[in-house]
Amino acid sequence: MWVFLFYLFAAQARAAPCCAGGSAVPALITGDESELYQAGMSYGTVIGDAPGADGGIPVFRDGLSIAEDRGILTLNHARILDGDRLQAGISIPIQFNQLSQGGRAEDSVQIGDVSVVLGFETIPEWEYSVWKPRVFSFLQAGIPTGRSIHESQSFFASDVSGLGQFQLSFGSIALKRWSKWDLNLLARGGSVMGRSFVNASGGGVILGSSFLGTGSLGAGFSPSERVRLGGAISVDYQSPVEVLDSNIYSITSERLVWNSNVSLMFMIGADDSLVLGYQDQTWFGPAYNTSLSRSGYLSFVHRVER
Amino acid sequence: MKVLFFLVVLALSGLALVSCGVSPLLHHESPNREPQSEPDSQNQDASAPAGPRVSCDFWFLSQNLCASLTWVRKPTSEEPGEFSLSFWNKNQNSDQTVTHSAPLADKVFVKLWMPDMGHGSSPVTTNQAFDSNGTPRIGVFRSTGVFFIMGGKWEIIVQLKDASGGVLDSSKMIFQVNH
Repeated sequence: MWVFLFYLFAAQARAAPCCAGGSAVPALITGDESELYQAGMSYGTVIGDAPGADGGIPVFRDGLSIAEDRGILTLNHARILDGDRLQAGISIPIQFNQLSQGGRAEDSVQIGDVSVVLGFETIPEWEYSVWKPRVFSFLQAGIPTGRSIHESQSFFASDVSGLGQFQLSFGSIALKRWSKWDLNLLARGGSVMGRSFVNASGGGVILGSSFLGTGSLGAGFSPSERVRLGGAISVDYQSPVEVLDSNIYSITSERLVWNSNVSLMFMIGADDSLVLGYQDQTWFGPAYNTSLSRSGYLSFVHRVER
Repeated sequence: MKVLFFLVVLALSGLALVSCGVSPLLHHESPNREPQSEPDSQNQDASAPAGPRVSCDFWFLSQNLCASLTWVRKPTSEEPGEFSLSFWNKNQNSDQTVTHSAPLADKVFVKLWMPDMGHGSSPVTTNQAFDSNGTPRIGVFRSTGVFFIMGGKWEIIVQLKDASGGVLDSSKMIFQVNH
């Protein structure tokens, strides 16, 4: 049984609630199954904040700072459409935010930005090759179903759960396995569409479009058929955004954050698996214009064989 | 061979972590608990009056007005802050108490803005200030509900608006928040 379960559904990497909309790895089938269902829960704490480019070094929060925790329940589904190489997937995040400082605390539960993906196995692996990877290409759309910072109605902005802007990106994932080792590489680029908002006080904000990019390099080791130890480093980038707010023009800093991820996957039976992971945004840098968090996650994956 | 490859990747990752000096884990600072503000250099006018109590924190070019910001209560970890805005003619001499002037506007509007991230904070309420007798203080306004949702560089933006909400003039100052 070839159980290469590259964990593609690690969509737990998110910026702080105020600036949600971090990396969203597409819900894709990269194994030999026809359908895939996944439910994952992550829980993270914001450790610090990185200023904009040239704005100084990151500041780690202390006991007097705003305490910012969040849980994200992510539901994913992907299925092969043509019985062969074409597939589609959907990812639905539900975000639980908890913010407190001093005697004030806020909780919020909001749906995040839903993403849908259309994927195609551009380089299949019909016969074994020492070097040739298996490659999937995808078109991913991020739908602004979450509440953005510009629509927030709460004091701490705890009700923010999404970027609030439509995103369209294209990317590829290359996977290669050698016996007990595996390697994966992801590259994604696209656009965040401009949008205008009307905030709670009646004012308006117009955001321009921007470029987004994601790169990821991961590796894994499977000491047995049912266990895989994995690690990955990914980087998320968003170019500066032009903002027109009440006739005042400004431009944001670029956003850059590095995610480090380690995971342990364990197969339960033939079709199910559990993934336990840890993600840290403080290990690698530089980081610009983002909060920095650490989170753990537990995920259950059910596969339907072809 | 493969083991060697992965060891090389691991070593390079470790090298990147410890040697580049950009890892937030190894290169960060703690919050500075003393709030500091500094005037926006774009708005700062060297010829503006600069007395011990009066500074041209905001300059409204079209009306030749300055406004000074005075904290009544700085935002704390538990409560939003409050400040007053005093408008005065920029041509007044500086080293004495200035005479306040009302701006030619139907509304003075204050908003907090984080330029790096491109978002604001909780809405600020700004109203005419009154003295202890209930008489309006000409050219003086009180802003309440001032709260910054996160640490970093913020802008305090003051806008003069007409009755329809159109912006007649605006000015801003930078405010560093150390949460």
